[in-house]
Amino acid sequence: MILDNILLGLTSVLSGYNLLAVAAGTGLGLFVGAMPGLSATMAIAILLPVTFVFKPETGISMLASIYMGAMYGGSIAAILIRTPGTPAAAATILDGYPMAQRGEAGRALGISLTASFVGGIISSLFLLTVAPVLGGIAVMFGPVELFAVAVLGMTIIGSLSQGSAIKGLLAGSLGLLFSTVGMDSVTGIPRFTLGNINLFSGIPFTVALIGLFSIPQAIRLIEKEESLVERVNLITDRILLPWREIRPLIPTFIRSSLIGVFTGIIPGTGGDTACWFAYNEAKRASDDKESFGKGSPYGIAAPEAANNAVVGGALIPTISLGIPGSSSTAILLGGLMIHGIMPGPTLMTEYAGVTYTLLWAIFLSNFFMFAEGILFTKACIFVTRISNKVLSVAIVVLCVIGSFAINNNFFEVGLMFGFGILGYFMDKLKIPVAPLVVGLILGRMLDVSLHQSLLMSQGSWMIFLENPISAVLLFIALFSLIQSTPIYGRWRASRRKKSGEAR
Amino acid sequence: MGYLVQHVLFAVFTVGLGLYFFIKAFFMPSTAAHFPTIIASLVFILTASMVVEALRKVRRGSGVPISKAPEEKILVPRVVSYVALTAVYIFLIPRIGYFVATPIFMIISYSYLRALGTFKILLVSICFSIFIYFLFVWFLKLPIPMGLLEPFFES
Amino acid sequence: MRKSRWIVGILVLLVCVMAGQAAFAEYPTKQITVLQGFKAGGGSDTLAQLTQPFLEKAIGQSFINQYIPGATGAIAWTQLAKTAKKDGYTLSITNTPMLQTNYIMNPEITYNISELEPIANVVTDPGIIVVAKDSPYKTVEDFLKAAKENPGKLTVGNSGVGGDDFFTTLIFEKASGLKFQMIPFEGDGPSWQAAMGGKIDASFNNLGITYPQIKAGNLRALAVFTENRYELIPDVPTAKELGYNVVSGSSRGYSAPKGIPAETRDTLIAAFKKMAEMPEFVKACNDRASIIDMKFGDDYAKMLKEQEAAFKIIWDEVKEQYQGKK
Repeated sequence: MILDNILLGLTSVLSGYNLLAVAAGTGLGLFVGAMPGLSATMAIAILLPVTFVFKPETGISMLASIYMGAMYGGSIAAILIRTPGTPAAAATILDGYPMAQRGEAGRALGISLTASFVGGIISSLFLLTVAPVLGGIAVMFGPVELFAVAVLGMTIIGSLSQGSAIKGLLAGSLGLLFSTVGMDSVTGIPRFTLGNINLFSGIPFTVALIGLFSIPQAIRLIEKEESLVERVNLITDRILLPWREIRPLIPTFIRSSLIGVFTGIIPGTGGDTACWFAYNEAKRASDDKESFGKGSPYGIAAPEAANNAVVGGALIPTISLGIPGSSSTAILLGGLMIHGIMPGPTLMTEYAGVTYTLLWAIFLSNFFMFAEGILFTKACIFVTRISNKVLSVAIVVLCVIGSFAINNNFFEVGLMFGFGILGYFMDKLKIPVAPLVVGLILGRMLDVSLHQSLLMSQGSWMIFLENPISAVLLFIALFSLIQSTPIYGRWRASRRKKSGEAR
Repeated sequence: MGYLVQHVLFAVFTVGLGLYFFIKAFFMPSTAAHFPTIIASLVFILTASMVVEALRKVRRGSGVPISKAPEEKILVPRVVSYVALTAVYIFLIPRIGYFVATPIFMIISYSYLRALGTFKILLVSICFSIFIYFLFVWFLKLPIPMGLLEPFFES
Repeated sequence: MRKSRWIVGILVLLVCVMAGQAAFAEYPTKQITVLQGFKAGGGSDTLAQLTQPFLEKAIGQSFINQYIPGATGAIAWTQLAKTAKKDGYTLSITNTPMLQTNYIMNPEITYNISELEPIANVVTDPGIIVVAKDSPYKTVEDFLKAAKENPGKLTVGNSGVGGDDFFTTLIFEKASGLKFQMIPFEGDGPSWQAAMGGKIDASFNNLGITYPQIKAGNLRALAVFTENRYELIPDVPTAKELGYNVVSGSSRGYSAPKGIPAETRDTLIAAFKKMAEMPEFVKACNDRASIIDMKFGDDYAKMLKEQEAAFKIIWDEVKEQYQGKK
């Protein structure tokens, strides 16, 4: 039965229109993803109306390909102009931009493209083979487990902050503080909104993200005399990587892809979280931690493989249960409903034709992404040839219009600019901005799930330890936190010393 | 500005922010106040640690230089004017509309930064404004405020 | 003299022609903008996509949706009430109970329904109580018995404070004298998912939203808050049958700002009436398990007013418990 459906989907996707939709969707995704400030979610949301005219399977396949394409597209801007094209590419900046600065922009983009391809393929295979089985996991995550997931996410901050851990943690807590702005979901009262209804639903993190990353970058481009500012000039090297370059990266590809798939499956977490998880793990597993943040190929491969792997992962609960695994798939689900398909377990049975076409479309979009990536990325050279001053003003205009377009709201443009100024000063003090974003993303989840759990347990905190999944996750979080503190470093150093002496 | 002064200024900002959240939360029902209070306290502790860390660094290194070489100096007036220009631009778009504000902002910024020759400035500013318009309005179907020119763009 | 007479003549003619054109060119002559208080793909958008193809046929003009999400719709509705032109070219999709509870619960939100001109309600998604398929509560009697024996212990989810399920639970508590431990979630989805995963004992939710899961056997419906049993789920009793007079749900319709021309209002209402009679529309609604509940003009306004009064009373009773004394 399942096999029949899989074959049915394959023949359907290979029909002319559907192939064209996948190719076009991937290209559109690449393009929109590369634009700073336009996230994959936005790309799907804004292109949703374009697909109304198509048949359901064609339209949905196109939307899913946009998602896949945007995930790679985001890294182009991250690598070339130090601005994440999508939130999921935020971690790619850390190593992608330094590598591009060294004149290896092509290599950086090549690693990113290959990683995205591998991540996408692995997650597509997961999706195709185990979607019906794995879907069950999503229901296992209630408030208690989600709280533990959020805590685990927060411990990432320790390893994100290069230099001073204190500064990283401070930025992280500022993010958490900002995340409490808005209507409290437990009591329904607006908190810290200054009486402004534009803040009732909280600080939209896409807006904060555009401000924090793009505005400081625009200012940095003009703050010094042109000749002194390093910038990525040309993609002089090849994007298509030789095998000897790819081979050492394979373990990172696979590890990060698996992280991406599983982060995607968990509802409410998407590429924006997965890229940091994967970056952190790659750094932890590496023997050469020093090279991270200075253009390490592993630092590019990890987040890029993970954020594309999220696509398949996030679609697993979306398709098998109708529970969106990320904000992008939530919109995809909305797209299904607009095409008259009810999300839920019936997707696999009643709408098998559409669903299995979608599964194959995801798989195929990877190949289109790789091919189009090779062609399209070269065309991006023109972005980097423009002088910094010209680029800076263009970035400002794009940020302003982009942040307006998200919610049609001018207040948010001001908010974006405010975060931009804050980001600039933080940058000058060498306080990392990324933990602030992580705090902003996870803060709401922490707050809400904490209260829900305490309501469920009648106020007892033991509920987090009594629940096996949350207990395990919290234990991992504790271990990860200890590992990032100086105490662990000293302990390891002394152990190494001892073992060295013994030898 | 010295290394320490910079950190103290930022500390004033974070403590002020934390205080706002802390005091506001004080007047909220306990369930809503719970989480922000914890986080605000965390911000206070970390701010204090940051200042202590900065103080130690200054003592040890007897004043860490911010800019190592003189040629890397940041052009403060330029940064301030540019930020001010952007603020005015953001303020003006909803009032006079995208198609008036954007080219003017771009032309003034480019002229001020001496980015290009006069002709190129005009060309780039106008072409880019039109490009963004087509990208958002035609291709992505997103709205852009038209302001004064609204009557001309109604279908 | 003669020259000036000519000029006057031409002017008069011109004025006549223009006035005539204005009189002949009846509303609507251009696209109608629909403000949406929620994100694309949400429930409000689903209604827009469901109705607009048919409305376009009925009224002869196209619709464009403008998404202004935030503050559970309040940003869009404030814009509709305060700044939108009163010419009938700006409408909004109005969802109850958020439309009223927004300003009942938050003094910072300044619009209210007296500033709106309700055009038509389109769908109402009735409230429902659902539990997981392996829940120990096989029937609503089991559930109510357990609630009576453990007051304030049974955990029931809702879609968020101020949402329809929140108020349904409160109304039901009041009618039955029972007490639940209410757990607010961020939306209907997380609430039924938690019930399905056995994280909470039950979820107060909506029929249209949970129907696919009920049909697939993953959720079990215990009771529905409608006047009569619903044909999709004939075995599920209504709260009324059980002796609790609770009828509740979330409704979605269209409203204009107060003060649009009377003819424009009539044209719009006529278009909705026409749409309601189209068999394709009825079929499209049934396909999506959307429950048509057409109420036009004054009837819709009356419904909104009655709900407003009911929500006010309930909120005043529980306000202190949620927001503390002010």
